[in-house]
Amino acid sequence: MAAETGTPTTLTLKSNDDELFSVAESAAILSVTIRNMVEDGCAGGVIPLDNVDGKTLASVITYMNGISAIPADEEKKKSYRDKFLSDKDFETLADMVLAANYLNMSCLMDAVSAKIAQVMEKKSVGWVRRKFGIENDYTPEEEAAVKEEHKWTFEGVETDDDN
Amino acid sequence: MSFVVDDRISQLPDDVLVDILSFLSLKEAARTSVLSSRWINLWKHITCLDLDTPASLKSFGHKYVNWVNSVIRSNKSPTLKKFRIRFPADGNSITQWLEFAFSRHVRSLELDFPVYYNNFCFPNELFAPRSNTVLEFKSLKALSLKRVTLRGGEIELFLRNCPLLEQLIVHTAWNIPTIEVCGPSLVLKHLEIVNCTGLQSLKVYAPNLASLRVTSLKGVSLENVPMLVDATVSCDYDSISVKHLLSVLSSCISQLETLNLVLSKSYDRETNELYSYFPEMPKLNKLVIECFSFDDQSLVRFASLIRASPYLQELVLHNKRLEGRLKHRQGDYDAAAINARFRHEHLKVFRFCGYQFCSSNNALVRYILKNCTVLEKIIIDPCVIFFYNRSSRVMLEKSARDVAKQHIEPQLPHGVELVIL
Repeated sequence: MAAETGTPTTLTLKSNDDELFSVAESAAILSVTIRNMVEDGCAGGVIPLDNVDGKTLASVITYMNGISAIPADEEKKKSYRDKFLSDKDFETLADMVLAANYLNMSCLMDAVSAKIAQVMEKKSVGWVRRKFGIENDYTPEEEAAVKEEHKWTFEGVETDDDN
Repeated sequence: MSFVVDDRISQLPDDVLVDILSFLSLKEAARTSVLSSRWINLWKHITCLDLDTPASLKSFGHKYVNWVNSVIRSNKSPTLKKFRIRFPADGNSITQWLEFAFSRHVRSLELDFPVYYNNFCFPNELFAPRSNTVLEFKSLKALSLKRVTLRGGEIELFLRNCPLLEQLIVHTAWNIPTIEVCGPSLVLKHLEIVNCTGLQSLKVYAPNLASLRVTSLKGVSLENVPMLVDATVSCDYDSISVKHLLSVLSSCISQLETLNLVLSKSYDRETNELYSYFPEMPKLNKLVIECFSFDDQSLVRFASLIRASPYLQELVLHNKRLEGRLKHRQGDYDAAAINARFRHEHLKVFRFCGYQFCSSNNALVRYILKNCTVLEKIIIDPCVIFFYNRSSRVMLEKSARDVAKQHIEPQLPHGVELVIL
């Protein structure tokens, strides 16, 4: 491995739309899925990642390189993650969370999940439905029954008209 | 994030949505059940249960307890990553919630009451063998008890029953007399004992401990802590001297990489001299000093600490000045220490919080600019001043900023950046 030979090892990753990416092994093994392949000796040629498209993989690799360049300092890593995700729209975040889940990258998975959760926090049910395009398939009676069951969870919710 | 047209979020797989909901408090997560039928049961699988406090306790207190009990009955997750109780319910309910958490192999447990909670004593009998339910303590990695009444012995029971415990935090347990964090096979990495004012003795024998935070050094003994690199210690609530501090830290001071000192003892000549007894800290790269001062006290005593840390890269000083007229104590700070020249070849960043224009503050700045040859940045943050009313604080901060610019800028050696916050 890299540390033993002194030369950095590079891996080639292939997205499901056949784009190729090279990435330093030391950064790529942030993904437990990739790390397992490396440890099992299956990373010699091209590593196919069947569940990730090129656009998302490019973004994930930017993250891998960025975060692995930061030494063990949780605060700095957190501020990198915040900045990295700050300009991403929901479509991108959804692609990213699926990729992170598939690649088994808990730090990216947690950061994206937390960011999506943050959007929902303290928001009314109507607002969240509109924000994410969630279709309400309850009948009015069913909805009233679910609401009644968790009545107290509606206290402190922001009013609907904030956008 | 702009609005999304299609219902992409509902198409995400269950485990991903459950992960997302695990970042919400239980109340917030439960509310998502109203979104659509896709969401009705997802929140019942979350692995982080954060039992937050209802804002309107009066109307919801009892109902809340019933609601939590029903939530716990319906939770489907076989293991819990995190369980946090912030609601001061009756002792029986809390005990049942704790039993639930341990029956689900909880990894991180936190009890954090809004105020010191006398009506609930930690149930030591939790650890007693029982016939009806199986509790699993071996999964616990992090434990945090804040404002929980402890009578003594609880911490030791946790350490004995939870062999994988890596993080232990105890805040504001006023009646606990002694704590022993001892054992050759402890995997504990982080220990925090804060504001336990009744504590007479804290014994630590923890071969894997990497970071320690204590707000009192009274009765503290550290033994066999070869991995300890990060220490936050305070001489805040007792009048413990620097001499005592050094004797407590004697077994580990030379291995520390980060040291955070909270000093409240007002200046006296004896203390000042004691700083020169600081042994060399060859591994120290970050030093944070928080001190309170009543007047224009000498800060140059900290010059000995800089000298004792030859590889220091970052120095942070929080000078919290208490209200009072600024009395100049000419003569205290222009002692030999400040004029002695030496070269510090690693300090890159000096952050000075609570800077004031007075001779002691300026002397320290001058000292660092003169002797630290690779300094890259000096950050002046004037905002840490206690007890002043708002308008005079704003005024003082503004004048500190102006004066820092006027006074420090002309002294800057080439290549040193001055940042004024």
